[in-house]
Amino acid sequence: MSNITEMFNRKVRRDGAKHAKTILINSLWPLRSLSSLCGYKVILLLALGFFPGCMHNSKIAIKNDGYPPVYPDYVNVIIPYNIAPLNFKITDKCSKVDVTLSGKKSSIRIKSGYKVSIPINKWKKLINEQKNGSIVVSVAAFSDGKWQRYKSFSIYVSSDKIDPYLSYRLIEPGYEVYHKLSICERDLESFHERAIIDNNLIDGGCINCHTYAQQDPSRSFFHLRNKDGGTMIQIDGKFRKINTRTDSTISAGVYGNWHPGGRYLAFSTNVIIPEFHSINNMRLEVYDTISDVVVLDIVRNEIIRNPLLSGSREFETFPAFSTDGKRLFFCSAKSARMPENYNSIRYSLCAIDFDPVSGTCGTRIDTLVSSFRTGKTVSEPKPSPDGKYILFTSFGYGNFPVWHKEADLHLLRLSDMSIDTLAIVNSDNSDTYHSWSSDSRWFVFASKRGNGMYGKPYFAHIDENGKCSKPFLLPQKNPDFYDYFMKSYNIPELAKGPVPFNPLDVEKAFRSLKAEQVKYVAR
Amino acid sequence: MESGNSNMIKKRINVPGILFISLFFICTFVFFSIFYEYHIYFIEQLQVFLLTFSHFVGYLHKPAFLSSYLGDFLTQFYYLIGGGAIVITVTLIMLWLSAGLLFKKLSNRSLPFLLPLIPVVFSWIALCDPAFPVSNVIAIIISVLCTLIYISINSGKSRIIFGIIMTGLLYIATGSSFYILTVTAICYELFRSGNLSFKPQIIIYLVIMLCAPILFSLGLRGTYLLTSKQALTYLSDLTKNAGYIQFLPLISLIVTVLAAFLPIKRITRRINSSLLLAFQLIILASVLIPGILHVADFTMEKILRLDYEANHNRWDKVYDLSRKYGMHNNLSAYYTNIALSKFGVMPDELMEHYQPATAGLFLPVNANQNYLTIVLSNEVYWQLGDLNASQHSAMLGTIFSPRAQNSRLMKRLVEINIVNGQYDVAGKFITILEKTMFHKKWASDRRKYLFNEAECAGSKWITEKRAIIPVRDLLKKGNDYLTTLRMLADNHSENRMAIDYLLCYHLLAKDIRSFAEDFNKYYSAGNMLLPKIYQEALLIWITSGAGNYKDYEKFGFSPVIMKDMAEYTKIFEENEGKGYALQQKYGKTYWFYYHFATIKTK
Repeated sequence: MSNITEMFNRKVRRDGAKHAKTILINSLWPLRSLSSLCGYKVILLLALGFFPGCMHNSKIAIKNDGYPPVYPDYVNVIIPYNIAPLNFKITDKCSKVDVTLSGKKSSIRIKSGYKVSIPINKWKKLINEQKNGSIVVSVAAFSDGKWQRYKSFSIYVSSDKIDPYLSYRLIEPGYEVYHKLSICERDLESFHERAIIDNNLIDGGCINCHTYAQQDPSRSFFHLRNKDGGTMIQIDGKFRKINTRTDSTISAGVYGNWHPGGRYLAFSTNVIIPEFHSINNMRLEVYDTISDVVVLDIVRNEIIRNPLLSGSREFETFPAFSTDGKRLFFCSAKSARMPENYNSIRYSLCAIDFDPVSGTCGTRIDTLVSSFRTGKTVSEPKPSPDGKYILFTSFGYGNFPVWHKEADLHLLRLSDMSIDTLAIVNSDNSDTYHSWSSDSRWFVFASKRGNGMYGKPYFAHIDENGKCSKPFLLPQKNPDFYDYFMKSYNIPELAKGPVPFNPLDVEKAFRSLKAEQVKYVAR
Repeated sequence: MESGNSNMIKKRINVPGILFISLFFICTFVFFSIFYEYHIYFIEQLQVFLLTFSHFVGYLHKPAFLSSYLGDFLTQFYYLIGGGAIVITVTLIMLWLSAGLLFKKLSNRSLPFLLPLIPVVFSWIALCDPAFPVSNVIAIIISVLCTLIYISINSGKSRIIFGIIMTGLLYIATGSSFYILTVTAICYELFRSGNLSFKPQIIIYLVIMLCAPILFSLGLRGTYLLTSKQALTYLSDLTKNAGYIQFLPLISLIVTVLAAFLPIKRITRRINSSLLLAFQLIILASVLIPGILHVADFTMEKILRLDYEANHNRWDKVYDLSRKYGMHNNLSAYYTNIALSKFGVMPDELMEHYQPATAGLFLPVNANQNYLTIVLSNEVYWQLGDLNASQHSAMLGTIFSPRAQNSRLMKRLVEINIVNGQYDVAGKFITILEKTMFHKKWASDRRKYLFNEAECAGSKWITEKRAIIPVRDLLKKGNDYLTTLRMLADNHSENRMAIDYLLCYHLLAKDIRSFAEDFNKYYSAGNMLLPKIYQEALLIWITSGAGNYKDYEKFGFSPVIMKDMAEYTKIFEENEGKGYALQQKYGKTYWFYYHFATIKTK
């Protein structure tokens, strides 16, 4: 299986034909049974001509050459074998649907209204049987007194397991303010969601940037931005509250990343300004007037400054340690007067050596993706856990891609420094806030595709050759869910398990812990 | 015989009492349908009630799901004329009936006739606060009904089991109203049940009933994501952090339950029945009238009426009502000024109305403001044509509405996104509104514009707005009004409303230099007579020596205004700058505002 995506495409074509035949044969089983008793043709005539009351049967349907209009769009996607049922709905007006999901050994048939809810146990059985195979989905819809059968589509089931938990912040897309905030955790193998942090319990303060250490739920951090807040560092369910602001740093830590060794966290420190566009297809611009990158040593409670990452000539932000912990990636742009130059500032992807023993950075900065060369800006570099790639967001200018419609994910292959623009993954709206699964075979990202206002989590598969597949939307129990949901999924992060804390633990830590003050050291 | 029967009927029917109760509830209806009508309409806007199963399931995420759901369902009817008054009146009648039944069952004898009206009176008072939803009253009714079931159970053991289980269920269904059952159960077992006395198991039961509310509410707070205080005092999502007013109905009912256990009959038997009725009426009136006056905000009622008319695009009514009310507050000035500019008379009549400097032109949008201010703030941007700012205000208004829902702002978001051609976003909000009972038609009527440019081109409200929306991009901070207005004027020099707002903004800020600069840049009235306030301001600019009369001669100053200025200056100098001599004749000139208005800053 050298190229899983190509193999999938071949399989889709082959299985599609085979399964379509199976479905047709299976669907005629009542007639076949009767025909064995009194003759096939007679029964068929009776069924078709003399019992018009039975004509609603989906087998006697007008053929539609197109794929069914399903939402979410699960047509020909690759999914992990441990994902929850891909419930969907038919977006064209119809009163009934007849759907069959067929595998090699078993199939699921669902007759329902316009919404298709797949029984979870049957689904699990089916996807486990179809690992490295495909499920063929055949859809017939009833509207205006007649059935219409669409072209079957396939869902390929990868044997690559996705990390089974996803955390994200739910926030109204009110641009720059919040009111009710929560960070939730979703079990991807079912529909179970729970809040893990809720701002109602912490005096309504802002909570942000919940980040795992290498997808490990037993180590994570997040920021509480209210009066008695700080950066909350959680290790094995125990919290520390750290005040990362010092007199010598620009701000408290903002965008952060764990070192794989667990002792260090890299943070950006920024002065962030939100401003509003005046024309109708743009909303908010968020820019830094000044920014640095620093390293926090959580053993010695020190903020370590390196002059190469804290110069006034550059804006540095979005730090991320390499998988082996020996390099620190970050984004850097030549500083400029803001907001006058807001639409000409472009960040490059850079790297600097990091010594995990001393916590210090090297003396040379390498530019991996140059904004001068690409003419675009880079943000949110995320190295893959296998160390082969860096997934980053590329867009027109600035460092806040959320409201940039042109923001796309790009994949930097570190072996040859080639960039894949991931055409199959990206949309005509903002695609950003990405996070890897621990096996480097999946990544999740928040996309505003659809209406351009509300971010939703999409998952994409990446095969061993770095080829990505069409992303699929986080399935929900109710396929109408996203139509009525009024919050954006913000910073989705995959994890290998559930976090060992709940909102009451956070509340207790928030109220009982005194913030540890860090020292500022220059090395 | 006949005479005897009629006497018996007369004895049974308390005619004055019935008349009084009928009159009381007629007054309730009249109050909410006439004197508090616009609060009722506004309360309806603070929710988007969907007729879907998943919407119902959403209520299970907080305590009091049943009362909240029923209350919000009924709140939809506030949309209709008189609908809110009917819902409130019927709910209060239900409360009166259920409370009366409970007191009767508890006391086993006749109680003062008006006793059950006490929680009704306090509910009426609390309902004058928009933060007190009708669901809180429904929660009390449900709890009272459950308490009635409790005391109707004869078997002691069954009653105990029912009491413990129902305490938990009531918390889930009605929130903190479960205290009614707790208090009643404890008192009932202590004073009424008779057959249980003080056996050890009863003492254990009483301890359990005392602890159960605390255990249930604190035990479930992790599920409901509430602080300890919120969990113990939860009435509804709208009153999650309730003040004392919101608790008055519940507390008054509990107090009257306790009163039902007192030997009131012995006291009341000695008092003449007419005297007793009069005494009760005085007590009720002395609670109700000051209570309403304390909680109800009749100034806000007038503002909400202006808002209601504005929301229905009846600017002539806004204009007339502004004149009629003559209110002195930022919100009324805000609507008055929009109405003036809609009729193109803003610079002519600006000084005819109360002007709190520039605070009557825009309402600030930020997290420190009252949600009401934020909810209303989008209107001026919508009228001016800054749809991005209007959308931002509408989004924030939705976010800061008590439950982060607002049907009226959702409609505005539909309109904004149709004008902006962002049909997917508009479609999302239309889909949501189509699941409501009363906004469904409005939403369906807007669906025809989605992805249909021909339909949009045929719609006056869309084409008019599209003609003035900015076409050149600019970055600006929130609440940067001058940048907003200059940007609108730069983009469309024919946007007269934006230009008038800009010039009046400078005048109200007493910034004559900026006024003159922007007047020179944007104003082009040809040979038409200048509006009064512009003439008055330009005369200040010219007479101060900063401006040259010849530059403005083409606009044609009114000889009357020039004469008035000369006279004003003369009186001003004669009276050494004191305003009283000028106020009567020149109180409504810009000169008077310029000299004597005091701009207060926080």
